[in-house]
Amino acid sequence: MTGGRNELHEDRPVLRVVALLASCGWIAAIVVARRGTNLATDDQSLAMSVAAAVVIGVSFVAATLLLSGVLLAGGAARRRDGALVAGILFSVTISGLIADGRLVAWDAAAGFLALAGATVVLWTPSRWIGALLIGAACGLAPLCASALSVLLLVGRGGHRIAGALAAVVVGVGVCVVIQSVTGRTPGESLTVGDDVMRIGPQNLWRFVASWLDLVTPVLVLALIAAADRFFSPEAGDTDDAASDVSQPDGISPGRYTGAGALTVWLAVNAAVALLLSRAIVGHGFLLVLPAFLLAAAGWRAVCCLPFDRSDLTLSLFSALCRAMPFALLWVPFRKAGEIVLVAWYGS
Amino acid sequence: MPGEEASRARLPLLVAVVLIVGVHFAGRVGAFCSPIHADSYAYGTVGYRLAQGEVFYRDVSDVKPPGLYFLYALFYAFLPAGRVTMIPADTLFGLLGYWAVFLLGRDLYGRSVGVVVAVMAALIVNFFIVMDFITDAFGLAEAFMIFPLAMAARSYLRGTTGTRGAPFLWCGLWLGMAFAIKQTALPLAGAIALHWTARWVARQSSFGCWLRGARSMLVGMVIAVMPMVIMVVAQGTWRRALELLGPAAAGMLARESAWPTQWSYVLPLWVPLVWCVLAIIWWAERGVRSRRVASVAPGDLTFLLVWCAAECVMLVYLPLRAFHYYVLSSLPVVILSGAFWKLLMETLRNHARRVMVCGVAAAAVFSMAFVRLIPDMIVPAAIARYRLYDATADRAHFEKVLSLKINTFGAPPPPPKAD
Repeated sequence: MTGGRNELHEDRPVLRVVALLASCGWIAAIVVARRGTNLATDDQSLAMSVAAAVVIGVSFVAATLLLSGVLLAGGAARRRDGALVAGILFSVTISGLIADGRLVAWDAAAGFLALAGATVVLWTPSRWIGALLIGAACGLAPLCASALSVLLLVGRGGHRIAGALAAVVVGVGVCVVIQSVTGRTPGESLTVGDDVMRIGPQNLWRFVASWLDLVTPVLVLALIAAADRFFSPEAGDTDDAASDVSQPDGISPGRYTGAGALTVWLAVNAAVALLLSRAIVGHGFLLVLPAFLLAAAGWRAVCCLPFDRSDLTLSLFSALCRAMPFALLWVPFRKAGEIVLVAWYGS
Repeated sequence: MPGEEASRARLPLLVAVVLIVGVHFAGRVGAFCSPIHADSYAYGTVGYRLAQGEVFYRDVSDVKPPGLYFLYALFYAFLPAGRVTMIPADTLFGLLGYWAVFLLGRDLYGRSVGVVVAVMAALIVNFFIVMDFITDAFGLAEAFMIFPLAMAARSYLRGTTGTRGAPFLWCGLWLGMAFAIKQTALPLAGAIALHWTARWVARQSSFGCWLRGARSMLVGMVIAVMPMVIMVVAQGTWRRALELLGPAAAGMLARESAWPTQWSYVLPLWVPLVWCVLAIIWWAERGVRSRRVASVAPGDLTFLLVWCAAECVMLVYLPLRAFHYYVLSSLPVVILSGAFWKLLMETLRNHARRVMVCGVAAAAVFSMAFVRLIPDMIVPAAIARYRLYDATADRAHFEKVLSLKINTFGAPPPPPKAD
């Protein structure tokens, strides 16, 4: 027997609910712990205000629910499994980034809006709502501007450009409102701490490397999804939810479907990261947003590796591939766990 | 379209070449600018003194063969004193070494896997060279031995498959070249001798067949070392040379052990070792199920395993726990690890194309997640050392070591002359 099997033959709603509650609870615990440890230090510049903590917590819990397919109505079991795994990976990865101490509330809110906007554009007919959300995200954090690539790549020619223009207009509007209310300029959203500005190239490399360790679990699945999209035959795209969406007025999805557009978004972010390497340290979360959306497709790609009784080594390899993303979660999980322990024993 | 496909096929090769050159550059900068001032100054000053007319094994001695020092002297005969003179030679042999590993990997597993093996070899070699904490590992013997050793292994395997062109003679020549640089070519020589003999027994071939191969290899080795033998005899230092290369060198063995006592010492080998284990399990399973392994010859795999074992034995007896010793020991591990990719692709070819793409992509991406640790250690170290490097102090130290006129490096002093 050489065919693959679904990991969960039956839908187990209890398991999903428990996993989601645990993920959301973990994020909330990390936010509380992070705020507690910040408040306990002498350097109050790192202190997280109540408002910031609420924004971060709510944004990431909402993003976890979004990615884990809570909005998915129906669909194949394999797609729901992929979404659940994406949600779990997001919650643990983001907990590591929160524990790292450099996530700001603006980025959290912008990230959630960008994720929601891209999800709406790619997988629902409500393109204009998606453009609105992406525009709002760009207004909060200019680093989200690369999400416009999703608007430009998916859909028919005229609708693509119109959607992107609408997002730009909304973004500029949000920017102006924020600046007038809070005084925060777009340039401020790209600033990093003085300590990061002072470090030399060799320590910057180490900083970026340690940051990459936190997001590796989602990046690996995203890269596998990208490879599946670009090197597999067209039949592979049937797993991509974008092709299931019936577009209004018979509009075709265009050359790029979900995974393709997200891969381009990720590639643009990679180029930005190379040019603005110091920005990764403070705002890297915004640069890996497309990876979170690609994680589900990557998990589905990994799950197509077969278990074969006539080839035990291949089965071992398939099992290893399924285990690897969770093994890589150890790094962000440990980082977050340390903060929780410090807050628990310090209180 | 054929043109587009050709461009697509060239792209991974181009990426691999850029990676290899980049890793090599970072590795050599890190080694050259190392704050440890040790072996590279010794080699450089000995080579310079030989170029000025001093006699090896008389005016200056080492327990190593003269090949490396003669190579240094050749460069110093035309170029100025200082370690910078050896950068072209070190780079040339380094790049030739990666190329030889690629050729060997290509012969065994095909072009694509050969590229993967060469890239891994570059990463691993430069990690051990940069992160050596015993010495500055620039211009050491190991860096010059990768090329002849990989070519020797390649020639031997070509000989076992009956390839024309006197492969066993070439095997001996390459082995001789490696021996002329350092005695740590012994594990490969021993592995070849053992494998060739075991193969003769297992296949019940004629003794003449065994003898022809062994004789060709021996003749090649003799031809390779003959110029040095003649020179040593002509300058009248052959007794001292024999004493140093024999008992004195042997006396250094088992002083300590180079065997790694922590997994972190062999960090760059983690991924290749996992590939090796999977490859061996795969190969063994196919053997048990009596399935023919089309892509990887059993003789090739057993030779690589014997070579690995021989290198492990050597590591136990080498006198220092120094990373640069792992450069040569890691070669058979890296080359053997290529079997995993070959077996993976052969297995997945029986499934849908999407399964093959996802399987290869998953293996590559998950491997890269761990292989990333290597440049994450090499590059910051290289940058930091480069920023602290002082060329004037480097040259001053070179002149200082030169002025000390040290007679012996790593060797016991010559016996006192009778009054």
